[in-house]
Amino acid sequence: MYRVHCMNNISQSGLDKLYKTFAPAKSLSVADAAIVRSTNMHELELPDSLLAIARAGAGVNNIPIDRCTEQGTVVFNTPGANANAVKELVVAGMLMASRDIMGSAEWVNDHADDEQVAADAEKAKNQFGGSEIAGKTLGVIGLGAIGAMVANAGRSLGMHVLGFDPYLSIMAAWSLDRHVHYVQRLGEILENADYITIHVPANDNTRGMIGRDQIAQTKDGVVFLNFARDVLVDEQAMARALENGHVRRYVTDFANPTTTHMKNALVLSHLGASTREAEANCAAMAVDQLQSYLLEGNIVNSVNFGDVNLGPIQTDERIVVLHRNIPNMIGQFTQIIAECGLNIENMANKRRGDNATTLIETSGPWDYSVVEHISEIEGVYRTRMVAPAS
Amino acid sequence: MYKVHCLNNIAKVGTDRLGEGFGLTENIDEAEAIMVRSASLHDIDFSDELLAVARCGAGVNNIPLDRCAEKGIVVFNTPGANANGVKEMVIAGMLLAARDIVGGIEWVDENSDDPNVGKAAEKAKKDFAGTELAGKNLGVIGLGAIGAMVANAGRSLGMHVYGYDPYLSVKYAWSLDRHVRHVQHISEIWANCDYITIHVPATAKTKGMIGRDQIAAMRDGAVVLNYARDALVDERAMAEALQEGHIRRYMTDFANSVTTSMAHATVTPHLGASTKEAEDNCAIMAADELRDYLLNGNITNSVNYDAVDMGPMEGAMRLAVFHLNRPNMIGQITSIISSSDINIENMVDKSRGEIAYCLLELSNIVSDDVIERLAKVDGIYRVRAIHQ
Repeated sequence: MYRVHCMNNISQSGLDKLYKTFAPAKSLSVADAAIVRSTNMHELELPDSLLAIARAGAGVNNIPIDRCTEQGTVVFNTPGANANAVKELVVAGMLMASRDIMGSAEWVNDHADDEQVAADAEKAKNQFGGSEIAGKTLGVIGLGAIGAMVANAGRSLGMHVLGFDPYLSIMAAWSLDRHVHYVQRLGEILENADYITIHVPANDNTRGMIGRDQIAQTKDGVVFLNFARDVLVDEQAMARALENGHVRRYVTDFANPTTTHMKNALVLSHLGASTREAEANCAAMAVDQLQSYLLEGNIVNSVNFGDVNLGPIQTDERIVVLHRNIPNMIGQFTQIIAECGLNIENMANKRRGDNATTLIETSGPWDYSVVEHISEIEGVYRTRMVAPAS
Repeated sequence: MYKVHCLNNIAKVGTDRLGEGFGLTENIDEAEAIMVRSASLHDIDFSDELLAVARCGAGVNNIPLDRCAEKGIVVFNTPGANANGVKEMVIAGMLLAARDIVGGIEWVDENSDDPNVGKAAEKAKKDFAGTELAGKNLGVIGLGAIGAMVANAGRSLGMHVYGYDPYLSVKYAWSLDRHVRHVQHISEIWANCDYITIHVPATAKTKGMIGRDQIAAMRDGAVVLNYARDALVDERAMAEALQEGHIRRYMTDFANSVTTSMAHATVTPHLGASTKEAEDNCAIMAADELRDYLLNGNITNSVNYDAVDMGPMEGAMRLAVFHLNRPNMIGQITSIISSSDINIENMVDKSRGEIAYCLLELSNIVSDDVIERLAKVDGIYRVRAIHQ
């Protein structure tokens, strides 16, 4: 039985699930796998036995990825586990941008000792009134797990929804309400939407993608929501557009010296994934991913090796090879397997950056020398053999 | 040409909607109809020309209903026109109760000059973390225009929805998502729901319907939302339950001396219908109701007369007869009309309490003499002729 070490507390439901198939490891030094949330692992010694680290959450800054790769430790994260939490925050953000609910609640607090507060509220409330989201146009940039949920929520709240995503996946496309209008150009969203929400990862292509020119194309009175990453928006340009009233409100989950001084901005304290359910989902996903990898060799949501999935093991054994993505690797593996008298039934190979994963399902008598021979190949980090549960 | 007087600013989309055959007047005494929002009519003398008052909104406390009924002035309101405005407020209320978003924003405001506010937020944010709506149980008490929309919205946000309404109408039953579970006993709401929202009118029966016993029967950590009327909830019992932590949060749209000093309450100043769209919808609905009444004699959404709908006018004329609800009135009305050799094509008579409204569609136009004879009948207090 594999031994798993929890570096941080994870939810009870996650633990229950974990110890159905695995045993607890007292320390990292004797563990086959680890589950971590925010603990910084950069200074820790990673034992050779460590096959995998699962991060319950999305960011992996606390994990020494290069070192893990070199010793053949697969690092997982749990994207999408917080999708519903973010979606609900986006809905709240749209509603709070539409009516000054927060300002009005503060008004009541300030008048708590007013004996005529009910009558005075009827006069004061005009300044907090606003508009509704039903019938308005929502533009969703990025239709991954979160964006697709936001688009569907917009539809079910009576909005017209435009979606933009040049890299739309089949899974996301399938999950989308068929009334979400898929647009080909970002410009269509900028020109038509009353509410624009962005759900893309931050990389060199997306940094500052909402800049001065993009903001200038939007409707007067547009509301922007950013629950993805602050660097996606040119916040100096946003501050000016808020100042001159072109943008009605900027709702952002990222506090920094620019956003905290913006006019008409609602700045949240990075609450997107801060729900009990998101934490439980992260833990459950992390456990599922470890199970799948340790018991079957399948990789889902790794950040350092390619995702491969051959499903449950159908034959006598499966060989898992983590290796550099260089020529003639597969040729060498298959040659060794043939020399050991095993037949290849199924095979999958997937690269991620400079590295790759190869799964080879074989039939024939178990021969551990296969693993030893493959391990000796230059560029192979780790080789493992897994067998179906007996 | 019917003349309409607006006592408050009425959204232009509404007054435009009155359309052909209608004009606005500054002089209330020559108006056949009044459109009003919150201005009080209690101290205004009604002219004999006045046929109808339309309140753009739901509450009619500002209108002397009895005096209107006695004079045969039909008072309309616009229930449901603000339904989406309230629905969106309820969703916001649930989300703000589930996570302390407001506290998080206030924290950022207080730390706006900290150059490392982003890093500090990562440590502070756990204080504002919470839960999600998806997967939780929502109880909706009252499935009218607003409650039905709230129930459907809850479903579409992934909640399990329990609905309670002993007077559920076919119209709203039809509009409900079929996964909304219709419960027979309100105790099922208390026992099962994480979020409980109330959407019933305030009447002698519903006053205090969420009282001490009902609150005690709720789940620990339940959130209660009240965007209907404060009188529905025993707020002293609610204040105690919040203090003890039995109720997680009370979201209410009614500021008063009890709610403003509650622990764990979010109190908004009656914002439920405060949207441009709700105001527009109210004005449009009010205009439609006035138009149908003045041109056709049909009554929809009146608060002092029962609903009458004979559709668009097909005969030569219609007579609207306002009378006391007592024996032999219809006999006298019909015999006066038939004595002038005119056929009654259609007739509807609807009573509400002591008064009644009779709408007759006639094959030919009756003479003024017939109308005068009708008006003189004891118990008839208004007769109105509507020509095509």
